[in-house]
Amino acid sequence: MNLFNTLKTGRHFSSLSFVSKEWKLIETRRVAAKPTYKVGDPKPAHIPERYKKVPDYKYGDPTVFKQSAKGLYGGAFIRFGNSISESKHKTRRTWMPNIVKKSLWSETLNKKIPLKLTASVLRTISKEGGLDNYLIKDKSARIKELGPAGWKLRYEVLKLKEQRSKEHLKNLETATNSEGKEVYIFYNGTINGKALRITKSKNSLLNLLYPLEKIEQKADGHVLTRRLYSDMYYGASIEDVLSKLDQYNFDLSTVSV
Amino acid sequence: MSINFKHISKAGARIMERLANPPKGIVRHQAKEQAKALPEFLQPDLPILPREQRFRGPRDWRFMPGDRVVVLHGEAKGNIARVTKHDTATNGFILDEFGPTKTVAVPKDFWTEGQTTHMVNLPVLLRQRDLRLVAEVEDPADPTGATTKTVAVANIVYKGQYYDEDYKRMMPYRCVFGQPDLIIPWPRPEPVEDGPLATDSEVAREQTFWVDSIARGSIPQQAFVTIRNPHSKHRRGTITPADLRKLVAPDMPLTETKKAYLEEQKMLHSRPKPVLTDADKQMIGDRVRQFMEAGERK
Repeated sequence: MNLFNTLKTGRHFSSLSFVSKEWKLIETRRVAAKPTYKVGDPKPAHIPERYKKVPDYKYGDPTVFKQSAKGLYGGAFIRFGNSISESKHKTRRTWMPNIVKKSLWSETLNKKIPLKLTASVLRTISKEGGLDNYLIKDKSARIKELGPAGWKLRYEVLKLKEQRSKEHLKNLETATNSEGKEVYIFYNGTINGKALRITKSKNSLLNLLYPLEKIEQKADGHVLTRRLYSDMYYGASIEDVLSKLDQYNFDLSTVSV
Repeated sequence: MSINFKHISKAGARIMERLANPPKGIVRHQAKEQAKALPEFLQPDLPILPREQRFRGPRDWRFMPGDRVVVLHGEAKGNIARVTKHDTATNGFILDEFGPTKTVAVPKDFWTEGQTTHMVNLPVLLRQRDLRLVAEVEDPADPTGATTKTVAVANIVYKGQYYDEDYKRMMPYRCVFGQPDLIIPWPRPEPVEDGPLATDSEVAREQTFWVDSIARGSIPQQAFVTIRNPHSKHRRGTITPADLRKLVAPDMPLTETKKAYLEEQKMLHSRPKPVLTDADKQMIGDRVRQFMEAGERK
């Protein structure tokens, strides 16, 4: 009897719901391969007007049931079939996912996010312990079911998390400044024969350089905008910025310990 | 890149296409309506032709201004007249006073100097098929060849070409159909006075540049910038950092789990690989020998 039980291939029961997940509709979407662009390459025929603010989603936008691009639908799509009467007459009908509107609290973003999501995703979010945990899970099935809206939220959450973690400062040397506060040393070396231990990041130094550069350009009869300025110093190293500051007689001792 | 977004959208292209290539019926209708709007003295005798049907050169025209022609049809049938002008819009020929004329009433605003009456005689435009070329050929009856005979040429063929000094262009030899050695010369055109900016044809035709290599271009590389269109749509420039931000999306930051996984993988790959030393080999050999000896004893 035991042997029969182990070998039987009958119907198995599970609490998992496969009902409305159409992985095929997500996995088979064709997303055009992006060419690799570099500064200085010939311009392509078309350049979008706006900056790209969100990473490219591997599975692209939905080709069917496009409303799912605007919410957390968990890979659920509209389904089609027949309603069959007692006389076996068939009438076409559709099944929509159970969509609810809900504002969910994001711990990381520290705000309520109004969302359209399916009831099953809402259940998953509560099991995961919050919206952020749902969004930042790494499993490939989760990435597939996030959709473009979920992918965007995931980027916002992860970006803020990374900013707050101060990962980029982890390997930096620290020192104590004149006020007795602990500061990071962003550059330790010599510029034009001056030994420096710089306590400002490259971006902060670029902000200090901007008004000086602007005056310098004005003297030459050019108008420097912030956009032109950022293009001008694209890819410049911290040494380049420091030597430029020194060239414009900026007192580097104010940003050094 | 076009300013009207034609490179992106085809919206409205159907209407523009229709304007560029109107159906034949519409063209006919428009011509009719246009003719209705014109007073009689301005109406052309022949329909105005589309650009691609108009005659382009002496080969198409066959009779140039100055040629003598005989009128085959109409009220002036049989008259010999001289072509005075071409009407390029209708492929029509205007003849001198021996050609057919019509009398039309002209309003006073359009009167020419010395005109005393409203009624004016205007030449009628004639089609090519209404005319036949008249030429002077040697009289075959006269063996000396001193006398000439006036004949109407039924058909013309062209054979070879030459540079005509007066026309300042290449002209075909105009021959009689069936008698290709009988060349009917083109009439001499009205001499055109050179303008103050004109270059003498001798100077223009003098060769001053000789190609010394077919492999190397004669224009120096640096000069291309000056001869090419600086505003060309094909001259797009290069990608700037600002453009790059429009073309390339940011990267998704790694999650803590992913970072830990990558860290672990790095650690696993950096572990030293165990090396089989001589001492290890010796130990294994000893163990095998012991095992074999134990087997033999049994």
